[in-house]
Amino acid sequence: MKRFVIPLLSLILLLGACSRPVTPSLHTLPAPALEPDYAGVTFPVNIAAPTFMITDSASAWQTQIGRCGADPEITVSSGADGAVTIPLKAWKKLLASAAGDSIYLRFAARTASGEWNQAPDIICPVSADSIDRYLTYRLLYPGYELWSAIGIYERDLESYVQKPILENKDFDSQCINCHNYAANDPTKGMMVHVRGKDGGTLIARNGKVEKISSSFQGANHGATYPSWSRDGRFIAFSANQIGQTFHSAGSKPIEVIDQAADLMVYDVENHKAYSADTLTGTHAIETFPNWSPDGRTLYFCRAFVSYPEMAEQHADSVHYDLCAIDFNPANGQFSNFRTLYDAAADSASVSFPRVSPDGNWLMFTRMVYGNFSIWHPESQLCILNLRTGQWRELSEVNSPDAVDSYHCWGSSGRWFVFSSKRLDGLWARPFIASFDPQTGRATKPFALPQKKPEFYRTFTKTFNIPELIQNPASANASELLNAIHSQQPQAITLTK
Amino acid sequence: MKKHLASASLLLIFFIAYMTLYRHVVIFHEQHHLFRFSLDYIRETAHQQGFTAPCAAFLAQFGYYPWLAALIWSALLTGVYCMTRAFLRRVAGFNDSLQLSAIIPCWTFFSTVNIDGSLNQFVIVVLSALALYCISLVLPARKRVISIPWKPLPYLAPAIIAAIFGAFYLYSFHPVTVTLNGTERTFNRQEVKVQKANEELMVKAAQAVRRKDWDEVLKLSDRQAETGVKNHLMLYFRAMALYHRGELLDRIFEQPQSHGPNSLFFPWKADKNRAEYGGYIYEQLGALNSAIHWEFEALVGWGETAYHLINLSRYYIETGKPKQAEKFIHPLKQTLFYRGEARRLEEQKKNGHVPGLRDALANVKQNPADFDPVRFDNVLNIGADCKYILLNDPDNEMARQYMLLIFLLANNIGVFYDNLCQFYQPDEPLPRIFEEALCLVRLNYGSDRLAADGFKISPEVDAAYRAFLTEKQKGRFTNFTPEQRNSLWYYLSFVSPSGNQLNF
Repeated sequence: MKRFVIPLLSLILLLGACSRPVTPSLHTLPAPALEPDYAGVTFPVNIAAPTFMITDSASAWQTQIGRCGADPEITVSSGADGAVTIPLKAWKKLLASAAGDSIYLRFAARTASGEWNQAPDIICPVSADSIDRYLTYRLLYPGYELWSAIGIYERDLESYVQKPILENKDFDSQCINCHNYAANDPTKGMMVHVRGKDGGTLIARNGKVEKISSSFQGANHGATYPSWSRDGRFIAFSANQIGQTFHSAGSKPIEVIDQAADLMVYDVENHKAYSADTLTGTHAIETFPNWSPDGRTLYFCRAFVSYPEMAEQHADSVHYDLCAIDFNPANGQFSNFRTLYDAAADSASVSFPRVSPDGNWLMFTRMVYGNFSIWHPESQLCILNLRTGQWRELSEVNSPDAVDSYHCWGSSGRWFVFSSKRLDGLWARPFIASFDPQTGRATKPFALPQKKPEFYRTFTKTFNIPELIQNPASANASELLNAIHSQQPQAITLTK
Repeated sequence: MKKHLASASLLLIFFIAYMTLYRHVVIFHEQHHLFRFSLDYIRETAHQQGFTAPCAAFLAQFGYYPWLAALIWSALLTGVYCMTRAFLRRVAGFNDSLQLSAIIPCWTFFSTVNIDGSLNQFVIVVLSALALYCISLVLPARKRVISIPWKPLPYLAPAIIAAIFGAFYLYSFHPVTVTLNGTERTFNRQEVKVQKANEELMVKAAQAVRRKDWDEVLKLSDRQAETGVKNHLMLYFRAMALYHRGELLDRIFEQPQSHGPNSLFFPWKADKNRAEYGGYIYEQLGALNSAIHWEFEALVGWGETAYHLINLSRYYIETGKPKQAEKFIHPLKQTLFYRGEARRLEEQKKNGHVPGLRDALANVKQNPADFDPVRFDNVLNIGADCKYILLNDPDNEMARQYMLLIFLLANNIGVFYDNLCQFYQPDEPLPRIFEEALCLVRLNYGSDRLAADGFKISPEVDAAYRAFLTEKQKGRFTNFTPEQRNSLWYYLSFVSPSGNQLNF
């Protein structure tokens, strides 16, 4: 027995010694690079602890985190791999105490001589504004035409828990896409398309799920990209005929092309659909609708195609402008079409207009041509002030040479999430940034925190359509699945 | 000795069968699974495909060394036999002298040699046998044992087991893989033998292509031609092998090119079976963007298997995207047999180059700073892609030969001639079939045009053409000589799926 006691005590003492903070004797270390980069970002008060890799080389690392002006509350020791995992409970306590203030990340590295060298503190503001608690996204391989496992998941941003909302393994590997919510709230309204033998558009409201046909009678094409009005009554759809084609050379792998597209609005209460000649003509392609908060204006992208039958060959000459049209909810009539940003005149193209909850700002993606910005490395997020009509690139958010695209406002308008491929160029990852509705300025974005520091280095699926929501959507999971299997799609007729 | 005779003979039969009759299937399974020593992988795979899926992948990985897989799989099947036998004896009091316990492992064996199936059934049987055996251990053993009172019976165990195995072999019917035969129809029993042999040849040919063993590919395609089965995949492999042997233009018509220009490639369809093989040609042409497209689709369709991960890593390294390559190298590091490959790829990533791989379109810029009009793959006809490659990589001989050959196989003699003028110097020696094409060009454009462009038809080819025409006019197709059958004229007259109409 005795022979085990001494080694055991030694081990305990050694472990105790290891976890005790070291006091660096040098203070000349430059701030280390972090992957993902959390240096100087603004955290919402309720976000889960970030984990990251320190990519500079050292034999060991010490990370200390505390409220600015106070002693460190968290100390994490890492080996040469630089993997930093912050205890969630201590992190939450720290953020709660630092809300409205800032925290510091203090790094020290063990040098070759065994001394510890400390870097200057990295300061990260902590916003007292909470971010919506849940983020939903679709996970799939960043493939092109084929798909295998696809699922829509809900991630609790206050922890690392991810729950499935729908997984196609439960319905014969059919495709699901375009999940969307009314006013960031699945209890108000949630929809998703199912493509395949059980195809249709699932619409969940007030605890009930309906399956309607995605192909409206009288429409030229099937319902595709959605936007749900904040009151939960209307869903605007673009009805697209989409083609895909593959770049023979260069940095873009694929081009997703609209061969045709129209806009229509579906009234979920009365099961009626509306459109107008302005939005359905063959001379132009209209896509990516988005509602103003009052549900009286639709923002969308529109391009003119000279050769619709040869859209693929002329893909790089298709430029989408940012447009708007008024909608009367009482009679389903459209009026007052206008162009807000003539991107074509600028030799540019826009996609994904999304209006802020206060109706003052419109965020969109800008690229050189086309509409499917998620495959365009040059795509950048831009912000349009709807009061002044001025727009600018969100340079504080964009990456210089990687996709910055699909974005979603949080319900408060003070946070937004967007897809960026800045980490590796191929896989879209959700990035979160704060937004000041007064100034229209955003802060440096950060990658969605994950439980494992090396997560983004190894995870081979892409995060598609990140959407912030206030309440869990997974509550609808069994009803949605049941509707896929048991309901026949209800026919909807389009009125012009 | 007597006690172990049956299990030893069963082990031996399985092992020999795996190593001889079904060695290619063992390799096939290995190439279509990848077990990773990672909790995340196990959790995710079990969640998506059921708990047997990671177990099946674990067993399949040993196919990296077919003898090892054969040994482990045979031992497990023999274990099933022993445990079933023990269960029967302990619970039912039945002494299995008739070796009925061999039926389950034999049936399971034949489920593992079906390349359309998975090893999940195998896993379920092994685990079930283990569970039954464990149950039998806790139950009280039967005191009275029922036995057939014929003493030589135990010595006949090997023969009985061999008979059970043989019966399964003779009557087993595997649905021939859709991938390789391009058909979903069910074969009748008379056809099964031919189809089984055909499937074996195609699986072996696909494996030979991956090893770049072109002689073996040609040997297998010759053997397949003898079965009389026409197969797109084998024609595609054969053309590739002929090119690498420097014999494409001389020997292309040795086998009827019944798929026309498609004999040289697979037109893209959103289909994981095509995706598995269709990208090979793009890698060899140096069209790495297209190779990535095909390989990525194969990975989506078939999962993260070693072959696709390695290829994607190679392509991304060569096209200067190390971070993307890293993502595909990482899973290889978590495997038992591909760690070395992962290390090699890491080295290549550092160097930024993969030996034996080249990006023929590396100099084409398509970014906003240096904006060229976009150019998309022609997914239905590789001829246009070959021309694009050739324009950007003028020394690409494979693109040159494939492009011109595709025009000929599509009956497009006029386009062929235009491109011949563009990409061949008049003083370059012309392959025989190009001279044969010139005979047709002369008919349409006249000798003066040929002379003006600097092309000549040799007297031998000229004479052969006249002889072919004479024979054709007689209308007795059986009288064509092997040389005449191996000509472009014969193909255009009797084989081309586009008919005998020539396009100028």
